[in-house]
Amino acid sequence: MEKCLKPEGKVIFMECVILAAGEGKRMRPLTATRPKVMIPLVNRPMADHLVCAARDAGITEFVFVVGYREQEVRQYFGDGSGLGVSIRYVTQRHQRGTADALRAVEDMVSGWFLLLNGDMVIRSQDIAGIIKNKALRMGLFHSDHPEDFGVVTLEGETVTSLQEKSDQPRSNLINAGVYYLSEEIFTDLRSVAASSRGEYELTEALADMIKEGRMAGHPLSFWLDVGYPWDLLDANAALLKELTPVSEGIIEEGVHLSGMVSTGKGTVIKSGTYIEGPCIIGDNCRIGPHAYIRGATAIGPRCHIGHSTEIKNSLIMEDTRIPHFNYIGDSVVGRECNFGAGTKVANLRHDHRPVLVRGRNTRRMKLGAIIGDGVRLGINCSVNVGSVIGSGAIVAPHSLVEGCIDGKTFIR
Amino acid sequence: MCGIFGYNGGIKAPGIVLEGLRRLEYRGYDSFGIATLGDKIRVRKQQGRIPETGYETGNLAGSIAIGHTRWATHGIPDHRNAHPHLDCGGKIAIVHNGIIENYLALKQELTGKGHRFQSDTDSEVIAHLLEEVYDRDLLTSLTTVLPRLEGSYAILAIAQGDSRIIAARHRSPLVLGIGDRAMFAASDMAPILEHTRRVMVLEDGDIATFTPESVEIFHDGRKVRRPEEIIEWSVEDVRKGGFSHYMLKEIYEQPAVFSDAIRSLRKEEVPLVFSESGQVTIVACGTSYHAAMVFRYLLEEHCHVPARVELASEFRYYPPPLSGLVIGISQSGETADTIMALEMATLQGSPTLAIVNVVGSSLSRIADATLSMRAGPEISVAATKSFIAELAVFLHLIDVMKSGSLGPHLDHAHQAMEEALLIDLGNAVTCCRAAKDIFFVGRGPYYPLALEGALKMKEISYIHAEGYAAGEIKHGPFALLSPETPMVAICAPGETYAVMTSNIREMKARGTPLIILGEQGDRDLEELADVFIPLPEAGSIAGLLSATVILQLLAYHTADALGRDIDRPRNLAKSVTVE
Amino acid sequence: MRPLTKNRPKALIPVANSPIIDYSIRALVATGIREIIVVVGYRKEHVIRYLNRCEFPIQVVEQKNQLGTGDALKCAEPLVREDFLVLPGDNYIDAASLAKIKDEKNAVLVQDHPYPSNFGVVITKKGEVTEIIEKPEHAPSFTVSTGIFSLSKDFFTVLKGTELTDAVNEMIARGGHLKAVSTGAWQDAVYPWDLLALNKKTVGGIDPVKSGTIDRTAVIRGAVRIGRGAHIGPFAVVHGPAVIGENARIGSHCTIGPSVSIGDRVTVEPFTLLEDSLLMDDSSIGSHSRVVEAVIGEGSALMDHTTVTPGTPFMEIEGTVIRGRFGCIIGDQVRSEPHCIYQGAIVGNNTRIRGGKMITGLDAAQDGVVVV
Repeated sequence: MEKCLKPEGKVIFMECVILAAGEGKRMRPLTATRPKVMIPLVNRPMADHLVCAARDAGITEFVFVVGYREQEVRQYFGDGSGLGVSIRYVTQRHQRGTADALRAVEDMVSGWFLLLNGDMVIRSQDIAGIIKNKALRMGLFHSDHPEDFGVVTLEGETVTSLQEKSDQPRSNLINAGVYYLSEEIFTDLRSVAASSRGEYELTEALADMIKEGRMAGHPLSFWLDVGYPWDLLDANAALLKELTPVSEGIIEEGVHLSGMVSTGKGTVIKSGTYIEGPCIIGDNCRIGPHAYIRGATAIGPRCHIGHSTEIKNSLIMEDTRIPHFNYIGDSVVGRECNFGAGTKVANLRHDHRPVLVRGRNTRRMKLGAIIGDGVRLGINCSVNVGSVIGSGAIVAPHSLVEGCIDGKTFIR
Repeated sequence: MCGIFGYNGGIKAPGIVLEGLRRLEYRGYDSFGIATLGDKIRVRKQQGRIPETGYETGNLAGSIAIGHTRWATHGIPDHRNAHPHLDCGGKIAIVHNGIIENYLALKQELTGKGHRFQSDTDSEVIAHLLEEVYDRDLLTSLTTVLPRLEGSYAILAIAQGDSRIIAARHRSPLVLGIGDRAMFAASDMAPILEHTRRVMVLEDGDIATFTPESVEIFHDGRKVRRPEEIIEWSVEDVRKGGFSHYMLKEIYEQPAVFSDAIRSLRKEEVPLVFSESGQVTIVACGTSYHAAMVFRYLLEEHCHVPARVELASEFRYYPPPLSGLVIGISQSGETADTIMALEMATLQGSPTLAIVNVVGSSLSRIADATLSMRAGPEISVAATKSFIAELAVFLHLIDVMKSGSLGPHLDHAHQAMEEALLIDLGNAVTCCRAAKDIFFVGRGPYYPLALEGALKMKEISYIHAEGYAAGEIKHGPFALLSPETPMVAICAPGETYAVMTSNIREMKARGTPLIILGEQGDRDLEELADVFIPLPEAGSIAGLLSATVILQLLAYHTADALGRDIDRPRNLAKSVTVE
Repeated sequence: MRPLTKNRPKALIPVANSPIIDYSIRALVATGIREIIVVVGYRKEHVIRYLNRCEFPIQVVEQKNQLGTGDALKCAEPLVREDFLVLPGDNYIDAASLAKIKDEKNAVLVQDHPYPSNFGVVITKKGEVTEIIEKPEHAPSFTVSTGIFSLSKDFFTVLKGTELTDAVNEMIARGGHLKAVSTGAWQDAVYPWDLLALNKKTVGGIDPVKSGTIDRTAVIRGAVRIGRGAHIGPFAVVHGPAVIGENARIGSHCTIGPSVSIGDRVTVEPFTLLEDSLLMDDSSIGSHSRVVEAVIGEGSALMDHTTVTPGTPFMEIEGTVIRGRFGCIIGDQVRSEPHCIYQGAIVGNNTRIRGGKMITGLDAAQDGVVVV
């Protein structure tokens, strides 16, 4: 785990509740062995970025609501001392909505507290803005596709209405999933329980406060959420722009680096390799010889990107081997995958139309594949645009992979 | 055996323990009780079943609670003998599952020192022994007391002023559940599943203490760690889900249980102890014993492996000379007789194999290798799907020995059971429900099925029923036959078809009402029978499975027609952990 | 629906490998309704066993004697605490249609149907229902009731008889209002061949995830779902939309689809063509067969060189002469030897057909028949 710096400056005594219980079904197959909040961006789990952002705003007490694959979260974060904070855990047995998750922490928080959805990226300055004084406040963000979110109308600093996701949103200010609340919310949550319709949503509990004009809205300067696997590519790119690179690896002679390139401890970049940043390469990787890495790419620890392999604008997780004559563009690849020599992923349609994944329009012209953990592809396989390959799938040499392949499928 | 449950967490302790006891009731249901610890210890206990709804936990208060459901071994089921038991001062409370064999000597010693006993149970001595040595640390007290106990125990103890629950395990199952700021301890996983999937199985000789936030486990005076496991069973597995009885739910699960078992077993290696064995001795009790008998017939017929089946309760006292593998079968893995039998086999140097449904149970710990039935939790006291799962294990082993030639049959065997589930048994039930005695007969592998059919009928309808090998009936039992004694005969095509048919004619000549399971379209049997039940896949191995399902349903519907308490028959407990 | 309903209620007949009732449950969940009560009767243990697989609890009520829809609803009365929807569990409906009616106080979902005499015909005036006439010989309009109502809790006060429609008419007669809400998505399979159309519709909506073992030479086009453990042999071609069940085996060089549902553990032997068909669990088709517009029941085995080809026979079913277009409707556990031809044939459960036979219409429709 790449460690963040310890907190400096004033420490604020309040809890930050992070909702990390969901599987993130839309993120499959990347969530087969990890909950959504543990998916890495620039080689650190999403939740890690969030904790650091809150910590840099002065918060040191965290409560994680966990559930799906909670062991992954507990093992990584422990009691939080590694990050200079303190973390406690509550398990939400069945994922029944944000109100249900929040109710689970009732006797663990007191006074005013910050509530964050675990699967987003925000800046610590914005967090500081949200908690600047003791008043109910929601984080908001200007989005160019507000129809995908709950939407808010703002008058001055006061939220005047909260509209559920709709095809005709009233504004482009979306509910970012950041809340500054007081203990009073728990009483309101109890009345959400009375309704048996669908899941128990926090937004219902907030309805009264909003009607009474007691909820302030704070537009965030920066906000990213990831719903689908291909969203990770943009999130990764945005975070790479802000990264302070380190150069802890061994760079042999004859290696060309341009742009921001960060290399981890124990990593060796062999001659002939050409890297155009922004790019982050984790610890103990073997890159090259003659590898070509470009676009906003993150390569996790202990990966092997070998001879004549090109990786463009992709997110590769730890312990994966892409060792000879491969091309991977605009893709997300899980951990412990192995690509046979010559295997390539296509990332552009002949007709240049947006790539569809499982029938859904990704709005991306270029998208390669979403590949889970432990996938083994034989030599000379071709993976077509918009493919999804589930964890543990095995693909025989010379196969064409297209569409959505479930986990543990065997293409013989 | 009994069920114990402990919770150390928040103020809802009494309610949580009560609900946990409901989930454990199938282990014993003569009486139940709960003790809570707040500022002091409070106890409520009573004879009989836990009411479905409306039980007031009354003055029970506190965030620490222990509870018990009882299957009486020493002392009649009544309020006095129900657990939890207290010491004289009312400051220590214990619940106990198991038998303290030397309790009389201990009780004499303690009464001599002035202790006053409230009950006739063996368990109460534990509370008083603790009182003798108690010096404000319950853990050291229990550690001192335990060596004096002979027999088996799973104990939960609490003491006024101590915020921990102390748990101890020796030859009785005890599992810890790890929640968030709450800890659980129970005789099995069923009550824990409602709260968490993280468990730690204690081993024999472990003493553990737990608070809402931490667990410490000691063994032989040293601190030890036990691995935390995540249970796969879900809460739905332990709920009735709309069926009127767990037994019915479990009967309907059988086609899937069989297929799933075969599929999982194929992914595993056959244990070496089996593939290398020349001959086999199988020890088991009850329904598992019947499954073992079926195995013996099939193993000898298909693989020519000499096989012997022994009642575990006899085996342990009168062991035959052993050579080859000894297999112990037990759904719970806690059946005392079977455990003892396998231990004896180990002492004599035989390789051993356990076939169990509950992973991590005592039987699987002592055997060299284990095969799991994977049937999911069996809540109903009468065994149904565990029998089918045991047959799946056996058929798989035979299939492996025959290089997979049975494979296609096993792949489609679930269909025979599905067909059996569609059969209307109304006429047969009408015939049985009015009877005082019912007989079941079969030959070959259908003979143990007749025994099993009779056992099911006995267990849940309380009608006296006996199974016989068809050829044996006329050596005595024939005298019992009359127009009042229905006879259920399984007459499948094969070698013994002709002789079975003539047996049946003889019985008909005595006026015995005949319920015959036979091949669809068999005109002769249809004519002979008062009630003819077509047996799906009668001529093949799958016929054994469909016959089982039919006999289970016959018992179930007869018991249902008579209004019996099907999931909790009188006098019975799920797993017999006493001899 | 015979022979298919001998061993299962219509609600459990699979289309696109999910029982018909599953679509109603999914539609309810998608509109946010989580309190679902199912009234069971025929083969109730099988229905309960199926409902237990839902991810959230469904309440079950038993109707001891199958008296009628009104009586069934009355059985659920003790569990109904507020305004409710009532749906027949054996029809197809989608979430959008339920959303239209969900918030209405008293309403019925109606749809135009080319053969209204099989259903309850609805007479409306200004968008409100004036009467529902069950199965009229001469239907006064083409608009029929889907059987899906949104009602308030006091409906139970008029629910006296055994038929729901009677109670509805009674409510209207007493001055109650019933709004007619239109939809186009409802589908009821009345005769077994209607399942082909229902299958075609539902298979179009499957999630195209492929699992199992797929030969690298197999060609899979369009939306195809392949279940766990299935085997797709070399050079097999599957045209979506199609769904292939768990542990099914599709032999080499088969051509499957479009609009095909293959159940779990089904075997399709090499060189077979299969189109517009529904094969239930554990069934099998022998090699070199051509099977079009077929419904094949559980565990049935058609051996090699079988031909199933669409025909339009006239049949007398329950006193009515009816004509349908289909290849075959084959019940459960049927055994058919090589070289048989089925053209518009209904075959009963557990029948045996000797080799080389030609079967049409109701020739072999009885259960347990042996055709020599």
